[in-house]
Amino acid sequence: MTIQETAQNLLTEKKVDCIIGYEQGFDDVHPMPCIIFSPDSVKKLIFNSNCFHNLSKYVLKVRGKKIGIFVKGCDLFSLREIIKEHQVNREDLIIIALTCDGIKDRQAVKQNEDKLAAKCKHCGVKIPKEDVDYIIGNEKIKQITQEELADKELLAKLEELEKLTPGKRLEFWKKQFEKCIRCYACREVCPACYCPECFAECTQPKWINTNVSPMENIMFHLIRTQHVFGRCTDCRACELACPVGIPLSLITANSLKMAKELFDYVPGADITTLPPLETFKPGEEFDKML
Amino acid sequence: MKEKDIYKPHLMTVDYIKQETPDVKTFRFIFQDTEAGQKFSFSAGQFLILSVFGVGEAVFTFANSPTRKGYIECSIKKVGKVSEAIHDIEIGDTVGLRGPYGNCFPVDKLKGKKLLFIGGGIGLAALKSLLEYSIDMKQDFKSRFLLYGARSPQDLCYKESLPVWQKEGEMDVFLTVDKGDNEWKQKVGLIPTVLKELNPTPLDTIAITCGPPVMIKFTVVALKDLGFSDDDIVTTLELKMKCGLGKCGRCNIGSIYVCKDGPVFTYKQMLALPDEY
Amino acid sequence: MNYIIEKNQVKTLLDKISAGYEIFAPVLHNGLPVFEHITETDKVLSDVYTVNSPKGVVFPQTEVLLKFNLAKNKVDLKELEESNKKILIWGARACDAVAFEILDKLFNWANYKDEFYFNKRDKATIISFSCINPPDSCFCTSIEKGHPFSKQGSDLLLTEVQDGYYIQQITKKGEEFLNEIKSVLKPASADVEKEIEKLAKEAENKIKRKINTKEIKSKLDVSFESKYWDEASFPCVNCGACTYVCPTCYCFDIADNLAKTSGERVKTWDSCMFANFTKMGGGVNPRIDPKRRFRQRFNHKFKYFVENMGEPLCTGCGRCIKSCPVGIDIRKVLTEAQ
Repeated sequence: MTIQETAQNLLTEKKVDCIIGYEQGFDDVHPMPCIIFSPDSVKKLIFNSNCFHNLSKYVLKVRGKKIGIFVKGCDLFSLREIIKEHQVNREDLIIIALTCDGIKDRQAVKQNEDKLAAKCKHCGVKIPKEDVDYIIGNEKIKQITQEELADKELLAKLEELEKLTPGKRLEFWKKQFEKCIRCYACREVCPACYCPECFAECTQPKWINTNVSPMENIMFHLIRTQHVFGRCTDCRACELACPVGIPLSLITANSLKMAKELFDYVPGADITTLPPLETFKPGEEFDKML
Repeated sequence: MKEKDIYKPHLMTVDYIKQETPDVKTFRFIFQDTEAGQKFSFSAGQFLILSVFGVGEAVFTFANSPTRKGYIECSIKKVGKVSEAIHDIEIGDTVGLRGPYGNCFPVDKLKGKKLLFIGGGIGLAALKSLLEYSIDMKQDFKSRFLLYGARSPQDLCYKESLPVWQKEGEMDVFLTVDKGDNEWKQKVGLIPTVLKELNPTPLDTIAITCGPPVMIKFTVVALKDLGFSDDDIVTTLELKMKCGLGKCGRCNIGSIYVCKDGPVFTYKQMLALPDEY
Repeated sequence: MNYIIEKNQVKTLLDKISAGYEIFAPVLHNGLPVFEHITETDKVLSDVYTVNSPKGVVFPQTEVLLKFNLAKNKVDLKELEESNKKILIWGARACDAVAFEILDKLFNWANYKDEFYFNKRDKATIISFSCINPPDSCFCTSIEKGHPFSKQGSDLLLTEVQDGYYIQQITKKGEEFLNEIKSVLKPASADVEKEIEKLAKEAENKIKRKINTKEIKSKLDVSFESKYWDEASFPCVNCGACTYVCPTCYCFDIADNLAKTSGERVKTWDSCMFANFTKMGGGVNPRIDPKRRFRQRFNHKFKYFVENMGEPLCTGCGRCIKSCPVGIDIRKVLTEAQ
């Protein structure tokens, strides 16, 4: 079945109130998230290798409704965490998995080049099967080898950063965050960031200033990183959203790495295991986190 | 050098503090720069921006009448960061004050009329400025009448001023609370209900009402039922403000800015606004 | 006399005037051109499309309004230091310069003149570049003052020609600046002006997507309560990217910062996209619903501002389209409004 047919059936049979998917944006390479309520609108649904958005967070915009949602393998990881955190009931969702052979690199797209996004080269969930209700797309796309799973280039970069003295590392991040305009696009697209009031906006008590300066900006990102640790699935929505190109994947990839090393946990890998900081196992070396 | 720094506050010394209710205090501020104090003038209904240095700024209305000079008075309810900090200040402390901003009650339109004041909770603070003005300029107005309501007897502000107004203003004062106690002998009930019981005549009368948005909404309905015209109902709107100068962009309702075009509106003007306040 | 500056002379030009000017210009950061205060003139780019606009030069994202010391019962206000250098904005787009004229109106509105803005504005010389090849996201020709070669708001307008950038002098300020840099310029031949006219016409024709601002205004006049906004706002995540890269969005916050006994009051950019923007002390918030915030942004730009100032709060630069993390296109939102 095609995405349109699936959506058509679900809406006509009233199995869902709405469908969250993609539609064409201002040109072919800029699709947009969309919501449809009527079977008449299914024709606008699309999916292609420019559909980079992680749609999972949009379920929070229509809480309480029966929702049909299209997810790529990576988005499914985020959705599982959202379900585990009881932000939405699994029963209220019809999850329609899209097989995905990779999304195009956004920077390259802007320069009219054809290049796969870095994370997609190491994707182990091209055909998401677990915890989904439908699978749409080519189920025969070539899977990557075990060897290719690790993004060696990125891991090498992380190691390099790790080797720096704390002072030098701070210098590196200051340089990166000096350009942050605190638009909070990273936070707003993040499926793990859904606090009704973010600490950044809280005035009683006040945690950070509204001043835009390298250190104040770092404070924001540092606290946000801590908040989403063990829940961040390294989906890279934040990096893709950043208008000034801050390499946030260095942080999210590191989060993922630490969650694995410290707690043997892969955020979003399944729908039952609780995130490490929401539970405690006897013998856990939690002091490593401090 | 800046010709005129529109963000620079006057420094004020806190001269008097009175605990009105468990969460409302009345403060009086004196200008540290006497010359600036003498030049400073305002009208009833306008607002000011107070600052607790290091905490921030917030918007309040003048509670004293412009005819009562030498100090600025504000009654402040503890609701947010700045108002909480203001509640912690002591006599002799310094605060900042910018203003006055916004329009004011339409005194010319009120001249020669009967004034029906309807206040709810801390909303009476804005009315107090006009009410005391109307007492001080007694000959300008036909009569005064006050209906004032609060959640409970202990939430009523200006308990000591009420009998003074009654006497000096030769006016009727009715009090009502949502929930009374053993000693409460006045009315119990919501303001719109009590207002309808009192059945004031709309003839030659202008109703001026301030209070929480819900109270205003239903009070206006009651006034309409009593025969008041949209133009004879005057109220104030409160929205989040930062600059008070028509620049920071947040206090708009459609294309009007409360800081610049308000805070005083007739109900007729409000009807033309989009539903976003 | 008309002049050309050769591309390799840009650094010489900037070095020459750097003693008297704070220079703001595009530089690369992580592969993206951004506008910033520069000290190394060899890194400066000229004819590029920056992520952010130069509005921050005269209306900085963070600006100290007041400095104070606290003592028992006492507050001392400290004098603010002001730079006596002039300001040079190098490499604005033609549309960015238009934006300054719009901001001028706002910061002098309602009988209050914001000297923090005008102090810098008056000191600034704006050198803009015309757009020979406007990108897809541009729609400046839909705005009355807008044109890829618009002279509105610029002091000098530069256009890429064969041997460098052809300089069109627009204001007195521009003339004064030209006099300062004459030694690094070379004379242009008389027929360049003709070529510029041709390029301008061609550039104008390259902008295919247009919106009709008058029609939009009349649609917005009646669509406030429309269900349209529910659907249109769905993809919006309510981040502030569009408003912060916008050359005309001006909303700001005022907040105090305190370290022990010394503090500052700062004006920082704020965004109508954020929930806190209109949230009152007691918690009441007239725009708590994300849809209302989304609707506010478009109405402010193409209805409220038009009613108050006589023109839209937009230059058609298209930055919001490019920066939107979910691909919302202001042209589409406005055109489809009903």
